[in-house]
Amino acid sequence: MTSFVYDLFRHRQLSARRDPMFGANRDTQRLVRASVGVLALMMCFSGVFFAHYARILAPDLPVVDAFNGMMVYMLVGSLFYRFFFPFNPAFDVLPYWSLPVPRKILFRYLVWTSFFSKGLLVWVMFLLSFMFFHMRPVFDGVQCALYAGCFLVLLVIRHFFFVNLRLLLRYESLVGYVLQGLVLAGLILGWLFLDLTPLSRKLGAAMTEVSPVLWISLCGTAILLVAGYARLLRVFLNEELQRTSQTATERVVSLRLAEGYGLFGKLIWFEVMKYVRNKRMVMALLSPVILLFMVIFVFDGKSAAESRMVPMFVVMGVSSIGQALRQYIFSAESWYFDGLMVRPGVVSRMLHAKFLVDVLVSLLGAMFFLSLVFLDRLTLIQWAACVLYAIGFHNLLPYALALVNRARIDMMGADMKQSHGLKGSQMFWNFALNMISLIAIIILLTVVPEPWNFVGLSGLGVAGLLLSRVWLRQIYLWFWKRRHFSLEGFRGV
Amino acid sequence: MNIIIDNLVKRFGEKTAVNIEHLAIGQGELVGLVGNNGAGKTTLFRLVLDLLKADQGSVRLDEWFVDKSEGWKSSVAAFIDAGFLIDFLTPEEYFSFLARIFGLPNDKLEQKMHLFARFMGNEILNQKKYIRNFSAGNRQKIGIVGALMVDTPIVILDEPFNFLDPTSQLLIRDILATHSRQTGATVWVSSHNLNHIADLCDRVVVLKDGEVFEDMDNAQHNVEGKLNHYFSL
Repeated sequence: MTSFVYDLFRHRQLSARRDPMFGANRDTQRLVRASVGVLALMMCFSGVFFAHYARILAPDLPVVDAFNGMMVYMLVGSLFYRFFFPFNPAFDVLPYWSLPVPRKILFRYLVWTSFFSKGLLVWVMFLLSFMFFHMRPVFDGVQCALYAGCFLVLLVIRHFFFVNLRLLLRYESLVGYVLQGLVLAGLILGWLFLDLTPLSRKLGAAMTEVSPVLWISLCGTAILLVAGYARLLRVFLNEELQRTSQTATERVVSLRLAEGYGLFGKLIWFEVMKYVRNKRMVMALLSPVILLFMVIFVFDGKSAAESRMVPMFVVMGVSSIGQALRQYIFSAESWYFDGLMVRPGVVSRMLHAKFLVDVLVSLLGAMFFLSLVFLDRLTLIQWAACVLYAIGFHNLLPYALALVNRARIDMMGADMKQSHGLKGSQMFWNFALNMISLIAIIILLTVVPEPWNFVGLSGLGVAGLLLSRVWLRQIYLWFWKRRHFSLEGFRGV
Repeated sequence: MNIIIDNLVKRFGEKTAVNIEHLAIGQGELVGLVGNNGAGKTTLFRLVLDLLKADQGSVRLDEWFVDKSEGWKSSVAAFIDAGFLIDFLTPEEYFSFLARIFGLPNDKLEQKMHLFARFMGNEILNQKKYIRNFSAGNRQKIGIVGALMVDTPIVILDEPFNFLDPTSQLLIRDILATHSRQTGATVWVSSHNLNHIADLCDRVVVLKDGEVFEDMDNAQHNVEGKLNHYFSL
């Protein structure tokens, strides 16, 4: 039976090698590898970028801020890692579940994969933080290792429970979900504990100053976290215990709405309702909350003039709401349009409705980040420029991807795994389009002097908004052209 | 090997998917499980295989309670759906992996492949394709062969006739009958095809709303009329 473990790992390697993404064509293979290379460069670039700013902003950089900077490495490293291990280990073991294999071996396998996957990430973080602190000796190597070790333990526990627990407990136990909550709380507390000294000072100062905006932000964050987690729990329970197919339900509802009414207003209402029902609401809300949290605490005391990272966080935060929701919507796009295609006008209306709702949702995000103006992290004009850029340019990416993919907008370019079946050239453009907004904002904020950088941000945003009718029309035309030539979709109606 | 189900209850929210007071299947029996969609056939199989946790009651395979031990696993082979397949392997790799897990020597494996050659046709072996790239029918065949090749005392198949062409349906019917007769295995099969079930099984259990509606003896293979009557209501 010990050889079974070897088999599991071998199968995992095989599965990675035999991913359809790699089997599609030779161009795809090359481009995927090139993309990984570019990502590695991006990682180095991010490191230099953040290290540089950390040094400019705070010559006597507190340890907590420096390590928060290191979190960026983790995020980029996580993205990097996903290219090599794009599979959920929980799914790896599913076929073995009824075979004569002791479950403890499967459990162990899941723990090991959690360890290896997160271990790699933490190793990257440790290595880079060590290099960073070698340049600026704040911590020594042992302390870096200790810090990295704590992260490793927390991440392994979190990964193990979050990813695998549902499978381990055979989708059944509420205890499992409670445990997940405890682990999540432990992770957050652990992070706070590791950063305790400076953060507690800041919290104490904030409490004595009794800043209303800060309190509102904190309470809002707490409420969103609790509400988000409660919602996540409910979705898990619905999906896993009752095993209902949310997608199938939505399909029926969408078809009924589109066929029965086909009205613009109804479509917008449906879009809004889908946003509200969407489980990715949690992700959509968590991401800007975390960014806001970082801006308030990590860059505490740094005004916009001193910190150019604040505008970048605002753009990312505002668009992340739309992005997270859009990712879900685009994953369901193919059936959505297949169902609607029997009424050609509906597709065009749907695109416009979708864009309009995108803008509205992003505006909500923008209001969320308005608190930074009151906290003197940004001026009102800078905030407006960031919002325009996020809505008019950064949010445009998925629609641009739809254009590149000739209206195959069921493909989400950000997720390479779902790009199965795309041509190599499409994959390249998908990747480039995903990067272009980030590169543009980095260049504008670092190279172009004020106020021209914010003028540039606004200009790109306004241009995207004004031209929206043109490119939405193009997507619509591509969509019909593809359907006409390939008869795609007709078979399923 | 006997399958003994006692007071088994499984609920999904408000709905009770399975509620079986007692059901016993003896060594060597060839039992059919029929019922309309949502009757609880697949859920029952998943409970028997400990892929779902019962709210109440127990499933016993001889002395083993399925949710309390794992000793029974080497005595049971099953194919419920495509999730049982390791889809990034080729069929040959998959069969050889199963053989190793169940301790089947290579020469025996070759014999088995020879035995199922007609059922698999020329479309499964030596195709240089991964399982995920096969059609639904061929994936079904791979799963069935995987379950039958290891000679376990219990074989559980959920709707094995699905996706198969008529020739393959007739072949698998014969294969299952022969397998049960020659190995003495307990074979439990669910299907919507009443004709096949009536011809193949010695006993037919009808599930309705998760409960055993009727347990019919079919030693004379004469229950088709009764089943037709029941399902036409």
